[in-house]
Amino acid sequence: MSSEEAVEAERLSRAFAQDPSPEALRQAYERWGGMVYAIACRAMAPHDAEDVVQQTFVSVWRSRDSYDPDAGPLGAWIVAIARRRIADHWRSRSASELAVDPETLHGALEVGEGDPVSDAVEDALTVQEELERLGEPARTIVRLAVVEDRSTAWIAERLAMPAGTVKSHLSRGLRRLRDRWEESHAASA
Amino acid sequence: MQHLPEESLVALALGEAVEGGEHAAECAACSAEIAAFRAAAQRVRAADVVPAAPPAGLWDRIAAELDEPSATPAAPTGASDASALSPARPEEASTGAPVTSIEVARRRRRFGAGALVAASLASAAAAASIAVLVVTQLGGEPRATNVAEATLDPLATTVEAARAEVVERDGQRLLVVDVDELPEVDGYLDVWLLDPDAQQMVSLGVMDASTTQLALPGGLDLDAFPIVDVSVEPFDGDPTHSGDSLWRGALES
Repeated sequence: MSSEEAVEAERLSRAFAQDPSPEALRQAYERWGGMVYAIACRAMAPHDAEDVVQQTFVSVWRSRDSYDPDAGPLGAWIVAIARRRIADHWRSRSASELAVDPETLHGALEVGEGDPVSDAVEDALTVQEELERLGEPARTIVRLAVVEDRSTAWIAERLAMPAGTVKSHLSRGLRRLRDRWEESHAASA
Repeated sequence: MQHLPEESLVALALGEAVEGGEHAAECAACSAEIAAFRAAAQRVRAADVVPAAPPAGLWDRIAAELDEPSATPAAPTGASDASALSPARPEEASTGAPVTSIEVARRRRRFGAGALVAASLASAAAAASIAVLVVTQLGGEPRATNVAEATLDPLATTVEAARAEVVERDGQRLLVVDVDELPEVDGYLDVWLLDPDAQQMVSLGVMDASTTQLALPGGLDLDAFPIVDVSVEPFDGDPTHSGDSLWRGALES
């Protein structure tokens, strides 16, 4: 997690919007493929997760014309596509297939008809999408503070930023994650 | 005492010391806010995923699927397939492939065409809202390669900027001119290609729709005639340019 990575994510979003070349797709895969794979692995066996990653990036390429950088960073868009491909995966599985594995069955029972993605996966998708949506440097700051439990002073020094700036990014970022969380739970309640 | 600002609430939720933090202990509203932020942070921690390296070869399969959009998922032979995703010299990879080399070359060229479209779009980055008139999709039906394009500047106050594109489809080059609205003129609109000095020109034909496609003569050198020009021509029987241009712009490949 570095400021270089932050610059890289933004550069990729711009590059993909202006010139969605196969090379830009490959770079997006290198940047976000591992994250999509990790999320998919929460939802299914690794072999199936590979398929989901493949379908996700094929979809990213085929719908590249519809990517609008003003609507959000590329990473958030990719996670949103991954969400659909994961949902497709569950829809395409037959009930008997799911019944074989108790854990998978649990996942299948947890989910509503419209959106067959388990809560844990849903959370992972939502958090990653929102983190990506925060953009940089807010995303990096929130991850350092919350996930890695770093102090704002440490982050400020590491990112060469005033502590006040770090605090305001952190506060706004966590506010948005919280709002999104409360929104999605109000909606499903 | 005043409630704590949100930055302080977040800091307290994450276990940092804050000036005036003692207020939170006595204030139900601030405590509740801190608890809600703490729950949000907890949830982010629980849901965070550590990116896992996808298996080697996965990118190759993605590249192969994009290379071959039809149903057969048979990933064509081996490791070099990723190179098909490189915009550079797509034909090169076909050499040395055995029986299926023609098929493979054909597929690669298709993907190369996509890369070419993308590359030429980059040159038009300034005109971000440019309409892509002929969309070359992997696996899409009309296979057109974008050769060059131009933003046409308005030369009269009555029209808005317009766009032109040269595409190649089934070996035929076409100039596609796209205007927001066809103006009402005394006469008709004629589309030309001019040399850089606007001394020599080739008439391509009549523009009678807001999107008009005109065939380019086979041997025409676009480097020699890179300027797209749309003129108003009176019905006077004179085949030369009237000098009354509405739009003009240089093609860039």
